Amino acid sequence: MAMTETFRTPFTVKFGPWLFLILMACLPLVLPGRFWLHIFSLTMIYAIFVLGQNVVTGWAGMLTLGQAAFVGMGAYASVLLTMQAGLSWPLAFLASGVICAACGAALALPCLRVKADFLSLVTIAFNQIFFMVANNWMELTRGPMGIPGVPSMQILGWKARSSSDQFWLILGVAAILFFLVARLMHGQLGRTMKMIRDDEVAAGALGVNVTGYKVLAFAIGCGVCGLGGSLYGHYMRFVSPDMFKLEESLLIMQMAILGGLASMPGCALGAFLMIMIPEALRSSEPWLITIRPGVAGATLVALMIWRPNGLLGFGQMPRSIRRLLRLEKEARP
Amino acid sequence: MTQKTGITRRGALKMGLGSVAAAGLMARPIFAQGAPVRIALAAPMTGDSASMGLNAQRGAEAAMKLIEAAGGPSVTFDIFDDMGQPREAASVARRIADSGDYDLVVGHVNSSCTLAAMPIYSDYEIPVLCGSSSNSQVTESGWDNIVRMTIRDDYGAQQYSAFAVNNLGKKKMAILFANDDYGRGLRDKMMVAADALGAEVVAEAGFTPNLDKDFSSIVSQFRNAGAEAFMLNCNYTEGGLFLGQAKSAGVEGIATVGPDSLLYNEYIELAQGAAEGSYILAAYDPYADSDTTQAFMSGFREAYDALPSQVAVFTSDLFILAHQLMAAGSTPKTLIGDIKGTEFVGVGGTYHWDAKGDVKDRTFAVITVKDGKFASTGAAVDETGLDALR
Repeated sequence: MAMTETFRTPFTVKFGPWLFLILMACLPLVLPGRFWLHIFSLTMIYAIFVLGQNVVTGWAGMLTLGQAAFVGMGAYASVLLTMQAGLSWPLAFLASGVICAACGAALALPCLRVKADFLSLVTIAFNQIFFMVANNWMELTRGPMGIPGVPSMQILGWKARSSSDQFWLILGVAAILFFLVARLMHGQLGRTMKMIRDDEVAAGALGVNVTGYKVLAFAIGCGVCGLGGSLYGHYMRFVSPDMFKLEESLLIMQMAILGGLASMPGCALGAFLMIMIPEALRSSEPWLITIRPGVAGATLVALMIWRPNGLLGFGQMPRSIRRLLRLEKEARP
Repeated sequence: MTQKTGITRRGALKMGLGSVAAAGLMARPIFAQGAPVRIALAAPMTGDSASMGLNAQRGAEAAMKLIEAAGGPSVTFDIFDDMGQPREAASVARRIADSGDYDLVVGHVNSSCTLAAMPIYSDYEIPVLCGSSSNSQVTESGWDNIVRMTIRDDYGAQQYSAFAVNNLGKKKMAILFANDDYGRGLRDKMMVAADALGAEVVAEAGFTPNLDKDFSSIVSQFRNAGAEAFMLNCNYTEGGLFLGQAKSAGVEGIATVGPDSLLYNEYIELAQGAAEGSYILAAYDPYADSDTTQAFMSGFREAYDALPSQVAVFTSDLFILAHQLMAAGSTPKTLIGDIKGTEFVGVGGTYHWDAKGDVKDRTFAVITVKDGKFASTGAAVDETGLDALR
């Protein structure tokens, strides 16, 4: 009987993202004050970084620890193209994605000669190299002084001035990027990447071009991070090499792990928690100031013990929740 | 040509809007005498520059005692940790601005944090009283809601160079700089100043702060270049280590000039005797004879068993300045304008401000290390040759 039953997409999967998008779009109307709007804007930008990380690490299974370099590259590219070359923001935004995708693909080639832990080391080194270059190439990046006075995001004469405008613009960009990446990852490309992740030898034996797919994963992941970086630079209106250090890469990785690798909602949840927990703990109390930086780390340790696949890692989601979301059918007696 | 008279629709609209705005202003409670002054202190309480945040906090606490003794409206303050990171600083700024709970901001400490937070404070028109951000961009970016206490990097670099060249007669300088916004900014301006003063930069070397601890190759580079003066554009840890390692390599007796980021006892300890006779040009003189300074210094020593750094002194002075002006009737809206038109005598000396919000007519106190202790020399920087740069 079960074999002949046609598969129907659960309504939570079909309509959930749209409902979420509508609820998010209403946030500026209900949130008191602009601070929380800023936190949500920052969360969405980080969710884009995590999405980029997840393509490479979650779906393609390559443990990279240098995504902040691509975020920085995207931010600097976009800021310099608008401020120095006079490009409009949308063009600079797209260009930063293309530049980062190309650099990601170029980095992938030497990276593919090493595996697992060594891949992490190569990407950490890449992050350091990016930091050093941004810190020392004075003529281009103004070095450690950073670039102040970055213009706000602007599309066809409409400038995102207020916090709500910026929020909606970032939400729109994030929604499009999540939609596109979801289409790719739930299609043939994503399935092939997962196949390579789970058993590279078997995938190769079946005629899959393993190298090509890995390079593609790097290009997409780094391109997404570059696009996010462009948003970040124009949203913060200031860029400096300090913003793209190794710690930032580790934060993005933590978010990806916390949310659950290879999980679309996990990207958003991980970013949300890792931005929100420190913000919620921000206080003038001296003891809270002291413990605050450690809380995120402690959260991650707790997670590794109880939910090693992340909060929304599919295999780890409790069956009751999966049934509630109609992701799994009731067990028949 | 006919001249339009009478009331136009646009004019009526403007008048209407104007009266609404005026009504709004009148309805707004005027800053009442006796109402507490609410200050947000934004500083790096954790992270690499946490020691500066601690000094800011101690400076604020020391100021609170002086304010209590002086009477007038009470002052309350809350600390916001920016971790020395621009992203955190932007979040802190939005949080402070959004809460509407604060009349003014004292901070941030790191220039990169101030630069990241200022667009937000500027949007919300919150007055910012900045202590130690010395990057010239802080007051050159067109924000009219900021004043600062410290002397700008470009002016500082000119003074350090002039002291080495004119006062000490050294024409061959070797520059050691921390490759961050502070050290790099000083180095760039020092190159220009050396040129104007007819001196030569024979060697320069940057290092990554909080990472590089071995300066032996830089020492030999400076020695081989025939340096007559070491210009240290860094903080006390690296400055002290550099001199200590130079001494171990047999490089001694070379004139050394540096900024007040060296003015910590650790500088003398780490240099292992090599700091003797070196000069520090400080934006304030902790050893000045003035009663205000001495009272502050002894109170601070008693409370914390430490010498207050520049950050502590500036934070304390900013608190007292804000309190004085608010007590005299300033409101958050008029505070920055009032500060620019005032002369303030604090622990760090006498301050005046220019239209941009920079301190003017400030001179550096020349401090030296004598018998293993800091001591004021009472010397003044000979500024001959600097005119070309102004």
